[in-house]
Amino acid sequence: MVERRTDCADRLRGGPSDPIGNPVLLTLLQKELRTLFRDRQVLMYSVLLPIILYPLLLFGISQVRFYTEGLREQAPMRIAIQGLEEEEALVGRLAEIPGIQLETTDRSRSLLVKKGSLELALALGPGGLQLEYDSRRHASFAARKRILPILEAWQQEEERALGKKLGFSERELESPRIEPRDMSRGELTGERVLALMLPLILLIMTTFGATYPALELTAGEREQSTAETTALLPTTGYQVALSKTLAAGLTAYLSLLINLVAITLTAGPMLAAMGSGQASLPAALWKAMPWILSFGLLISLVFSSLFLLAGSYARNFREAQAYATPIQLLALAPGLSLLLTVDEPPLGTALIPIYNGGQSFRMILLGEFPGTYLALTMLSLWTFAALCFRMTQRRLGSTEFALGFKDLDQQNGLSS
Amino acid sequence: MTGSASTNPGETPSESVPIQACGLCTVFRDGRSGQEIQAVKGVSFDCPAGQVFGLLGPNGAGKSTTLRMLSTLLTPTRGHALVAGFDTRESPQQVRSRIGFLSGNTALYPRLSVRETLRFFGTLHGLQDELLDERVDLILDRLDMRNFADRRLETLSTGMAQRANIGRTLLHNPPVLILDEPTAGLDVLAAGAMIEFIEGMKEEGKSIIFSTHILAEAERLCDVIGILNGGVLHQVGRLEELRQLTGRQYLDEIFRDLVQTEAVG
Repeated sequence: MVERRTDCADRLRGGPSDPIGNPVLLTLLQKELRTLFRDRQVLMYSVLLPIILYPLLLFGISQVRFYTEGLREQAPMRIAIQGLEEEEALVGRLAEIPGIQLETTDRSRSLLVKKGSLELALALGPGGLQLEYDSRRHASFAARKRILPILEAWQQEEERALGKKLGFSERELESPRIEPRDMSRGELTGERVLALMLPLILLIMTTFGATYPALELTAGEREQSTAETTALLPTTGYQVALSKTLAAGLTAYLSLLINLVAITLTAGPMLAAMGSGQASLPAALWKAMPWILSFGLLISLVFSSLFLLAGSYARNFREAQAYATPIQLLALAPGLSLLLTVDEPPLGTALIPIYNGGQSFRMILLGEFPGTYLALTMLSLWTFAALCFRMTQRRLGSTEFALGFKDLDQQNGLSS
Repeated sequence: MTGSASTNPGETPSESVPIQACGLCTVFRDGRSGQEIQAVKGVSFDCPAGQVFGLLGPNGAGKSTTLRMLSTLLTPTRGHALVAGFDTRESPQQVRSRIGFLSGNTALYPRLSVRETLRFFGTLHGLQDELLDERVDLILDRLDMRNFADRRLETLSTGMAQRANIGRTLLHNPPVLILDEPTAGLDVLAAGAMIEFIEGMKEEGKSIIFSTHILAEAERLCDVIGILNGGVLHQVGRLEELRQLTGRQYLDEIFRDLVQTEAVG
């Protein structure tokens, strides 16, 4: 033991230059990542959720679609008819709809529709065929949708019959046909949907991916009484702050990558299930991938710095969650605003952090690469991340963080 | 005030007296009232190698604050301290690499195993490769923790976790140990093991500063005792000197006498 002491003492005398430098940063980073990836909450939100979210969404969407379509086809409809005694053909066609119940009633039809006793009421009078429904009730609205084609066909037949009665020829009665045709390829529709949805999804998932690791490395340390231990490490505050930012940022980035892989695997079938495009992945996503990865890394660092800063002010993990929630909601705002279609955002928006990241994602997915906008976005995100990092570094190096408010109060004799 | 023997010829003061506190003062600002509170008022002492300096005082006396200033966790508002020859204010990193600090608040990272923890601290203290492996194995053997080496700290009992914490403190073989109420919260057996550990470190020639309000521990371990109350170091001396000063036999009586005299004064 005594001999060893000499070795160690020599090493220590050899200089504090030994513990400073990249090996120290790597050691700190390794420890932070170990801590994070052994935490169930972090694994749940940063790894497991992205893996299971998209297949679940795909399954959910297809099931909901299948279910609602099935329901629509088979749902029973109670329809009151009045004045249709002479329209046997129409009544006959209506009666063929699966699940329909035609009733003749003398009671006030409108009231019964409103009350929900009837889905629809049809009354033929001097003014034409009156159709009463309640748009607030799904069943009534769906019933209207189901019988409307039958009523329109009946109307056309009535018009033709009247025309014939009046002596018009079959050719004269031929009305111009309207045939809508979608000229876009399914793939392009898919790109539009992706460009609309993907930036929002990526922003949300990166936010979630960064939140728990950042809070764990700040408020978690306070809660576990390891903040003082960390403050006693023979390292600089810069190294400690940088290792935490990198650990939280890399975890958020990993979450983003898992999201992208999951999206890559499920986007095609999901878009097909949503009725927008074909069942293969839009080529735009592949083309945009290098850009998404670059911006994703920056945005991950921005979010991790932001949440580290918020977490460093909390006394425990619960309090940190309360601080993080408004930031999460705030981060949703730029994502949601991207849903409002703005084809060419003003250049000034490239200076708004997070919004500019989402907007860049979107433009890239649409195949546009506006150089100035993207460069300004990069600059703005770097500046914002650096600012947050600087503030986090100062905060993590403070006595208040290392010792805790309660502890300082006790020292002051302020608490019992 | 000093609790040390004089410096030997040929030695620099920092080598023979690894801990030197000169007029340490700390002022906190109360966040609620905005008032300034002086937690430590001009504390001065030194502790040579191979000696245990006991800082005794009731809760809120300023013991932890003083030790935190020595360990660079707090910056003194006035005064200065030299630890292992480095000024705590000017060279905090050098000080931290030369001390082993242990308190009830320095918990270990719960998701790391004992071995990972020791390797982490060892690497940061500049130990590498074979030397690091050797030191980790030595510490595990010495603390009888081989069977627990690969278990995560969150799965260990309080006593075992404290052993690992001791291992962390000793790994880089620091010349100075700063122990802030190290037996607080431990059961009788674990506290006994801690006392034996401090005795062992003293024999190895380390300079140890140790705070407690358990007088029996101080009586058993300390070469020099400092009585701290209300942020003021009232008396420093060997137990025998304090006995002579107060005319009392037992440390609890000496302590009460000194604290009450000052309070009346």
